[in-house]
Amino acid sequence: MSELYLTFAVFGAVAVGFVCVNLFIARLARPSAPNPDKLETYECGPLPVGEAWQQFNVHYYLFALLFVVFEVEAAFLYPWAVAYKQVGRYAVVEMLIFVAILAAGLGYAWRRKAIEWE
Amino acid sequence: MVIQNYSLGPIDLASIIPYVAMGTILGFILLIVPFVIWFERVVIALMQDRLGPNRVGPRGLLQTIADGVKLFFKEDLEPAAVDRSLYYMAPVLALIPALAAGAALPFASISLRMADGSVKSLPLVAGNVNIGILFILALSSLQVYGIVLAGWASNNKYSLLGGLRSSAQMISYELPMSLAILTGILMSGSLNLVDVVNSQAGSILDWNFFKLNPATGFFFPLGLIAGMIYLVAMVAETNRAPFDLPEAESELIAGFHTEYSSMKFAMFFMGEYASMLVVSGIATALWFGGWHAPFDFVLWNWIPGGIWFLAKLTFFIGVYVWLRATLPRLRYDALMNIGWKRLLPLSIVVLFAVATVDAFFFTKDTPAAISAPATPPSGTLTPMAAPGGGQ
Amino acid sequence: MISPSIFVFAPLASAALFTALMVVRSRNVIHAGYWLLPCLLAVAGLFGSLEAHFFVVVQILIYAGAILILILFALMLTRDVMDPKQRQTTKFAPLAVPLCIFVGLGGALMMARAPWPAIQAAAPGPAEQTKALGLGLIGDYALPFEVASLILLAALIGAICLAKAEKEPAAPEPVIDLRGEIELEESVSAGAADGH
Repeated sequence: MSELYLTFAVFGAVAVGFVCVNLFIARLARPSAPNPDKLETYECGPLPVGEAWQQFNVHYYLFALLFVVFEVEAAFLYPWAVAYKQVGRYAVVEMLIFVAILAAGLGYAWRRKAIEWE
Repeated sequence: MVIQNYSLGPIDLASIIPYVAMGTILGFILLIVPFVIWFERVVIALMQDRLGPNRVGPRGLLQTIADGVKLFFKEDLEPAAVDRSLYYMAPVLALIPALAAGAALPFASISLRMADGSVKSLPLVAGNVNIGILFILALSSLQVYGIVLAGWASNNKYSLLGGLRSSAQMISYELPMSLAILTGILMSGSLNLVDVVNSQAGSILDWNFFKLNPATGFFFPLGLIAGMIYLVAMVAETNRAPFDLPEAESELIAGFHTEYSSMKFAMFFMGEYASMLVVSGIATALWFGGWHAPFDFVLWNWIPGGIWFLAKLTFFIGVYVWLRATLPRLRYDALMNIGWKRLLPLSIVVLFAVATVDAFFFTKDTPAAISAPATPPSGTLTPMAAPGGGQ
Repeated sequence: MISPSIFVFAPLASAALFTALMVVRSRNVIHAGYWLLPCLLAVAGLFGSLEAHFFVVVQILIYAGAILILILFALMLTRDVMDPKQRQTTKFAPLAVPLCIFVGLGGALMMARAPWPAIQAAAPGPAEQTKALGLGLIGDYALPFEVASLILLAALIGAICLAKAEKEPAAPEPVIDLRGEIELEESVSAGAADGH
């Protein structure tokens, strides 16, 4: 099994190496002539107003929370998926209850228009 | 097609197969991208009745390579207002998950005649893991950071909007995607992608996408629906048209990579195509029979499995291009509605339909990969030595 | 008595500790949030070194892939996200130092004295682990498992109420305005009808 993690590590290392080598070669090859105008943040021509780092719509947070809840549900479903055949119908009903409770949550979010983008 | 298991001293062909697979998939993903881009441009040109790239190399084949070389020589503008450390991290993070997910993707199988005369079928996969599909899912859930990081680090309002939109989009479509994958797992009965592919051997009727062979399993419209959910979610996950809102050029300039130029921009480009290849590969393995030929036919079975896999992969890249040439971009609220109000409930329903059909109507044998020891939960905690070592 | 696994454990553990320290030390909250990513991945690596393969997947999928996104969104929602000049400590900071030392030392002492059982058999393969977990969920631990969904539901409803509550007080006003306008319109149209 440890070879497996090694394989993933090799793939990750190749990705990092690939990016670094490319950026390094580009650094050697490319010209560099910065001036204050070039280094301005691009905003379709006019000078940028203020910073981009501001508060944003609370809606994104709501979606992230919904996502976490259902991702946890999915994580529970994986072990169930490989085990339910051994138990049979009982297991299906049991998981159906679990998912129905969460589906009720989704229904509530739907009714409160929480999954509606404004 | 059976190949003799050649051996050189202690090393034989069977033992180097994982390394061959690793080299092949890494080389393939990293080197094929220019040609995928060329393919996309040629096909789109065909669909729009224009010529497309035709200057550099035969049929313009070297056009993307020329573009890449050009990017090496481009000045790299790094705006003064960026958050430098995060700004440099983003392109790296965009490429790592896409490439690493390829490690668990089986793309061919090779039959070796061993020394004792028996024939052994070995899958070509860099890291053959029992729960390979879960590793792929976990790694692709990290895909979102490259983009959201780029959007944040650029300190550009358009980039930030693109990054945020993209992250909300990717997490919204990750759910139907993982539930659809789970449906495929239920139909094949294994978390191991090699077993999933082998459960679809035979003909096109055995593929999870159709699955209407009464002998091996009949899930007909369910597999089709789950497969379609996966395909839609896969396009959304890779931020491709019609789900390319993160870089909607008509409203967000270039979205999250507005402030990236030269090779850093090329790395984002690379990451996008690499993840396209990987998710298409998963679609092939999970729904379309992997390296198996569509019909059990002598001549077709002679074609190596890798070629079939490649053909199916090309088909999906073609679908990507076709969608891009055909469909207009979705509006953001429509995008979220489709994800949360259509695909998610539908994928839950399909998942339980498959489980119900399977549990109530079929009593299939449990497949080899998971049937091994019927361990009760307490049995996995292995016997312990007598406690009291400390005192 | 050094086992070779220390060469896996030590780098992973020190990476987790270092990145956790950076999470606390970063003055920029977004940087702090992003330092959590390598930290959570290092913990996933620790799970891997213990051959708890399903937990590696869950750690990456849930913590690094979902909860961290939630945390980052929450951080971006806060005001003054980029203000590194604010004080990072409260007046109780000096009190925390002896407390941390006490808890740390106590924990270390307990761990050193605990009779750790030694596992002899090899861990089961990843698919068997996953299956055993699934059997546990639908078998012995069915009730806690179902209750877990209620907790998730409560979290969901709570978040929706919080996020939606902001807009509720503002809602009645336009209704009153509208009613006034409707009455006005009705009276106008009624007047017009009279005059006709």
